Amino acid sequence: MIKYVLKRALMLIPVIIGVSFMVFFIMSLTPGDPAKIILGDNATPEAIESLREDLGLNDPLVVQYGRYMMGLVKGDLGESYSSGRPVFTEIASRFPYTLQLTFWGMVIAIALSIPIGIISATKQYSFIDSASMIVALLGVSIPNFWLGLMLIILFALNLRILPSGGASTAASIILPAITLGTGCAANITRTTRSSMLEVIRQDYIRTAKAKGVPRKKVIRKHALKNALIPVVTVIGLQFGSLLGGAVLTETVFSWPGIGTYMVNSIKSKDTNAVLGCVIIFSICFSLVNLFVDILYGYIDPRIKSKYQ
Amino acid sequence: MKFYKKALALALSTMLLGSVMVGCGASTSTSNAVQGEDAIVRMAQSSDVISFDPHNHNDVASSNVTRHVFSNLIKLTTDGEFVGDLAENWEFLDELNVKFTLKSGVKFHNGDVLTAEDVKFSLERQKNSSKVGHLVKMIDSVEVVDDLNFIIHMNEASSALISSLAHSGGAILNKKVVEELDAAGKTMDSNMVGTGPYKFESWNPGDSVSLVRNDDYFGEKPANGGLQIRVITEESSRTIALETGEIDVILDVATTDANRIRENSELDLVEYESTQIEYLAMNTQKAPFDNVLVRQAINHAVDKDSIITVAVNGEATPQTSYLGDGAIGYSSDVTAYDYDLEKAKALLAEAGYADGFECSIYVSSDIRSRAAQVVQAALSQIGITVRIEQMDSGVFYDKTGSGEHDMAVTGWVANAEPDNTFRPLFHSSNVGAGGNRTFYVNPTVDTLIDEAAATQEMDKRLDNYAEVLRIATDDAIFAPFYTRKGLVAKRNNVDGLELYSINMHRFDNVHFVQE
Repeated sequence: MIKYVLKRALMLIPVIIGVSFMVFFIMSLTPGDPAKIILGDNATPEAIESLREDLGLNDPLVVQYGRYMMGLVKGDLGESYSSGRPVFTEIASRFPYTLQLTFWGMVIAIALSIPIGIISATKQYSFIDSASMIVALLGVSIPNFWLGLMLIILFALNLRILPSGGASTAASIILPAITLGTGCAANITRTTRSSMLEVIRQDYIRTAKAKGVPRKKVIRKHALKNALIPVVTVIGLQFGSLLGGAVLTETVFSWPGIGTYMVNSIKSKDTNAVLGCVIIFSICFSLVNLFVDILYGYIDPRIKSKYQ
Repeated sequence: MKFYKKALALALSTMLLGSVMVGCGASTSTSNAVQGEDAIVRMAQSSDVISFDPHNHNDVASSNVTRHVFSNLIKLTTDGEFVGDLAENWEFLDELNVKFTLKSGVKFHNGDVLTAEDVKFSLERQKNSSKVGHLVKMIDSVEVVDDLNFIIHMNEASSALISSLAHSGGAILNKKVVEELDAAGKTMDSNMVGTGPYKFESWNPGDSVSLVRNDDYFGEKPANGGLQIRVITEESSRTIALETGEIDVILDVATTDANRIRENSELDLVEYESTQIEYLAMNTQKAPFDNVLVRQAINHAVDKDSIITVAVNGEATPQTSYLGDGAIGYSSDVTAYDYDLEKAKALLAEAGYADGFECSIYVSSDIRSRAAQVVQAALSQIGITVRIEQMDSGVFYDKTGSGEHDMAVTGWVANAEPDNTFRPLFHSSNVGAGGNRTFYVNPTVDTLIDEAAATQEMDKRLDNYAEVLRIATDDAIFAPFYTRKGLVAKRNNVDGLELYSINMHRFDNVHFVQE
């Protein structure tokens, strides 16, 4: 198992090199001079030239990339073009918020979706099944920002029981987490349902039932455990991608996470900040996937046995 | 039973972990508990502070904060007058040398007393700034006479010195504190030590900045206990936060929300004059726009009222001159081109383009694209086929700077120094990326601008600027659209906002009144 974990951890290196290489060159291909964008329309040509020199923008692209990667090895993500602060500090101050929002969003998503998925699978074609699938379909189709605004209007403006945005109180997390959670819940519900449907038709379930095992125990112990493998994959992927920042939800609720930071950085062509965000994001995504893979080992004895 | 125990354990550990993570965020109350003169004013703006270092930013969101923490030598009043802030008085020894005397006993937030050395240090540091250094490029050196007196030596006579010293980039820093920070490679993020009416309290990136009243302020004490400036990027979220009472003032009001705010009896929409103008710039060195008749024809095809409705929901005033009406140097005594397609057609025919031609308009935002569409529709009626090309602002400035464009929808926000507006927009030395995106070259205009810059007589300067505007409108280098209304919204129990057309708003006097 340790060998497996190590192997997966080493895979991070080519991922980071690949991602940074692509992002670095794509950002440099987009037109517009960062120095001009930073200084604005009123800047003199001399000021622009001296800033280009300061930022090292006059060096060949390969030299710039090499310099960046040398810094990265030392844990230095460079300085933000627009604020002059270290990108690492900028991201570090926002990341806890994104993590917190992702975490609570996923808690809500899982708490909603797995029970609903199980119920609709075990009671296929019943009223509950149709109703929950319609809700799940709505959940996938409703845009997050619209749902967010509706929740703000209802709970902040009309009922005045929750804050409309920001992150200043503990209650601030509730609306964004619900917005994010319901969107993810829809996907997980559908996966849980289809995976459960497949499993409960298996022979060993029939055998268990025939043995006289109580229905609830069959579902919980024999069916659910086997049906969870694809569900865990979906949860892992969702969690990983949300760590990159739920841009729309963060924007609607003025949540100071990494998503809004990345979007603002792209707008201001702050290459260092964008690169930093993407690299942190790819590391997180890979780590979550690694974690999911390890989890497989525990859920799926077939994988565990391969590495023993 | 085992399953339920596991589930319970999982739920409990989730709650525990979650509560630890909630602890990451700073905890402040949403309701304004403190009333009276210690009440905190909660404001919202659309973007976060880029930097707390006055020499490292030149944007409205950052300067809204630094303006209240630092003081300048000179400040601008709402009447457009320059008065001493840290400076007790100043006098021009000759046209290149100005002697200043500081107010005595002014203290920084850390207790240090302000001296002329701090001023020398600050201005010299500003000169090296890539963002605000250009404002003080006329300063050659600062000579300290004694603790309270110093002389600014200029390298050329410039009328812009006084107004530049009032710009938020001209903030006076604490030499000792900043030298230590610079030496340690640290930023001013949590270390703003100014002489201003507020002290820095906290910053939560992407969320809010908190300032508290400086009880030792040398000027008039603020009427509130402090400011909390929040970042709310999304337009409707900003308005909702004002409606729910979580916010007392919003600084950037979306034009689409203006009517909703007007109709709400708990809220007030405050309009103020703006120096911002939006216009269609024509490339005067590219055929057929090198022909003044063509440019005049296009001016006659611009329906300002429709553009205002389509682009900014009616929240603007039509403009015939080339500056926003709040700008210093503004003059409305210019040729006005009314919307008249027949006249436009006749002018085109006279220019030899009776059958029209094809051309393009470059734009860099949705609002400007909507304005361009109105122009496109009108021009199609006089035989001109227009292609609208929308691009990223960086690309837009590159392309219009190198003269690739036929026409472009762009704009200008004037600051307190008219030379900073007239020189980039109309002087031949700034053709292209310097700001003169019409590539307008007119020696008479150049002379008028140069003369105005070299004199301290305001009347003479204003005469020259009015003449520049008159000549340029005759040459029809722009087709002006509108001056955007400055809009600020507040709860109706808030009073004392000092709004400036150049966006240097002051919040010291904001207070709550009994409803």
